[in-house]
Amino acid sequence: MIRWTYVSAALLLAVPAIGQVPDTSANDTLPEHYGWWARTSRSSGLILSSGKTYNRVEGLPVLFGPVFHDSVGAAQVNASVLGIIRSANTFHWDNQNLGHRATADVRVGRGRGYGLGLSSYDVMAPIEGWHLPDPDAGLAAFFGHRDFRDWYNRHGGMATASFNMSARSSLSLDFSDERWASPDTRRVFSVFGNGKAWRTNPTFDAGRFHIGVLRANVDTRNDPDNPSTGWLIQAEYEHGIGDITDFGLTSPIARTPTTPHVSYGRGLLDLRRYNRLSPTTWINGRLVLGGWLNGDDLPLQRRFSVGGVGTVPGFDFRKYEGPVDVSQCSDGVIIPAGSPAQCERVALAQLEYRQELHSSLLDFLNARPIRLRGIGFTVQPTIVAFVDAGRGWLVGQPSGTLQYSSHSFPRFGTFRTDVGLGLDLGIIGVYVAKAVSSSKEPANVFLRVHRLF
Amino acid sequence: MFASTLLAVASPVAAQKTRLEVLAPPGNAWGDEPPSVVSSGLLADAAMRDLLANGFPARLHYRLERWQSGRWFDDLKAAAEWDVVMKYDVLGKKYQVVRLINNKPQSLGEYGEVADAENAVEGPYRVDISLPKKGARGYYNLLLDVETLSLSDLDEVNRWLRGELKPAVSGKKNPGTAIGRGVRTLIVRLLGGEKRHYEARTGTFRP
Repeated sequence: MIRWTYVSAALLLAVPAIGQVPDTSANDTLPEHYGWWARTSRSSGLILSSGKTYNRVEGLPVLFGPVFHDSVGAAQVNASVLGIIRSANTFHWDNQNLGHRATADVRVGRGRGYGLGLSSYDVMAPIEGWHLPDPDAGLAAFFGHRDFRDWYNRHGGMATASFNMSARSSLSLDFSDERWASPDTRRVFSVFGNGKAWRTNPTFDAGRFHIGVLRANVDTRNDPDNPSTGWLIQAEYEHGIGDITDFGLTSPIARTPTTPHVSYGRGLLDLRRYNRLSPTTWINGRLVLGGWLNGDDLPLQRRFSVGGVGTVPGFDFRKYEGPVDVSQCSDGVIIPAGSPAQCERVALAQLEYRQELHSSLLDFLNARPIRLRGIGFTVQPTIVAFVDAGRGWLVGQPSGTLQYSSHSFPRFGTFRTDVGLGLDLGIIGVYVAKAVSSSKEPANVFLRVHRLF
Repeated sequence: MFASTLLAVASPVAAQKTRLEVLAPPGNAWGDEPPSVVSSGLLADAAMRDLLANGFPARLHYRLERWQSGRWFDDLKAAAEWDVVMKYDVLGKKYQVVRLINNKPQSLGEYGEVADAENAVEGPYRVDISLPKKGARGYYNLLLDVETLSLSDLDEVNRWLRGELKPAVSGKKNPGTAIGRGVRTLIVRLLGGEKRHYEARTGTFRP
C-alpha cells in the first residue's frame, strides 16, 4: 500500500549566489558593484510582495509599503514599513488578518563587518521552522492542503546586533519583547482538497515574553543552492523570561503544573556536511540536536517533534504511533487538537547518497529547458538514496522510553528510522520512503523541490 | 498530484539548443594553461529577449571549480567567479556588455544588435584560475546561473495587467487565458523560475 503526501518549493525570489571558496582567484564581485546590478535591483520605493509563505492561518500574506536602501560610506542602510493583509477568509478585514513589519538596519562592511537592526512586527510565526524550508511548507499548503507547520502570533519589537565573518557566516544577538497569541485555523484556499477541513492549529501558550537569542551561522558550502562540499552549521541558544496568561493544551505527561511566570533556556544545533565522492556522486549528512537546557519547562511554542517529509518521511506528519509516541511526546490518551509538538528534546540524523544520471533514458531532459510561460528550467536527473533516524523525548524523572533525565540520551533502538529512494530532477523530486522501525507503516510517496536538505 | 499540475501547465517549445562547455587548453596541457569557457543560446529565448529590450539587465554568474580526485572524497582546490552583465541602454539604443572580476568592470563593448552582444557575452573566455599540480588527477566543474533583474511583485502585477489582463478586459483577448497566464506566472515564481542553473564538466585528467 502506498500513500501520497505532498510538498513543495521555491517561493523565494532567486537570490544571487555568493560563493565561499578556498584558494579563490576571484570572489563573487557583482553584489558589490552597485552601478551594474545590485543598485538597480534594490531600489527604494513602494513594493508589493508575498510573505513568502502560505498556510492555514493566514493564507497568503500580502505585504505593501515603502522601502528605502542607501549607502553611506561603507555602511548600507535599509528601512521598510510594510503593512500586512492576509488572504484568509477572503481578505476579511479583522485583527487576525492584519499585521505589520517595520525594520531599520545598518550593515557596515561587505562580507566581513557588523550590523545593527531594529524591528517592530505583528506576524504569524512557524513552530519548528527547521523541519522544512519556507517554500516547501508554503507550496504543500497551497497545492496539497497539507500544512506541515503550526503557527502562533508574535507581536512586539526586536533589537539585533550581528558580526558578519563573511557574506554567509555570522554571529548575532537578538533581544525581543513580544506578545504571543494562538491564531485559529481559517478558511484558506488550496488547489487540491479545497473545502476540506484543515488540520486544527493547536492552542499554544499566550503571554508576554522577553527573549534573548545568541545565534551562530557558519556556511562554507561552495554553492548555497546546490552544494557539493562544505559545512552549514546553525546553532542558537535562546533564553526566555515571560508570563503565560493562557496555557496551551498538552498531554498531562508533557508538562508539570507550573506557575505562569517562566524562565527557560533552549538550544538548537543544525549541522550539515556535503561531500563529493566523484564528479557525479555525493554523500551528504545532517544532524539536528535541540531541546531544553535549563530553567522551567519550555513553552509549547518552543517544543519539538519528528516525523513527516522534512525529518523522517517514512512516518506521517503528526500521526500518533503507539504505544510510545516518540514523534510528538503525547501520552497517547489525551492528544490535544492538532497534535502539537510536545517533546522537550529531539535528535535527528539524515544521510543521503546522490548519483547524477548520465547517458540514461532521462538524459533527453537535458537537451533543452522545460518551459513554463517562456521561462526555461534545466533538468538534472539525480538518483537519491537516503536514511533517516530521529525521535523526541521529555526531560524529567526517568519513565519508560518517553522521559529521560537531563543527562541521559535514548537508546538508538527507540528511534524512528526509515529508508528511501528518489529521483531529483533539479526543479522537483519524487521520493518514496519506508519506515524501518515500524514495519507495518505503509510507504510514503512525496514531492520536494530542490534538495532534501 | 502536484507533478500533474506542473505537467499540465508545462508546454515544451522548440528552442535554440543551449550549450555550455569547458574547453581543454591547447594540446591538453592541463598543468600549463587554464581552460576556457564558451557558451551559446543562453539568452536566446523570447522571454529573455523581451526583458532585455525593456531595459532589464541579464546577469550571468559563472563559477569555475577545480576539483582533485581523492581516495574517499574529492577536494575543491580552487574556484574562480566572475559575472557578465548585459544591459540595453534605451536612450543610446545599444546593448552594453560588461565582465566583472574582483569588483573590476571590464567593458566587452557596445552593440546595436542583440546577436552581436550575445556573441560578446558567450564567446570563449580563458579563466584565471590556479593550475593543478603535475600528476594530480582532477577535473573542472562549471556552474552558471542566468537571471534577469528580479522584478518585484508590483512590477510583475503591472506587467500582467498591461500585457495580459487589460486586453482581455477590453475584449481583445480571452479572459480565461489571461487568468491562466496569471496562475502560470505564480507557479513559475513559486518554482524560482527567474534563475536558470546550468552545469558543465570536463572529463577527469592527470596533468
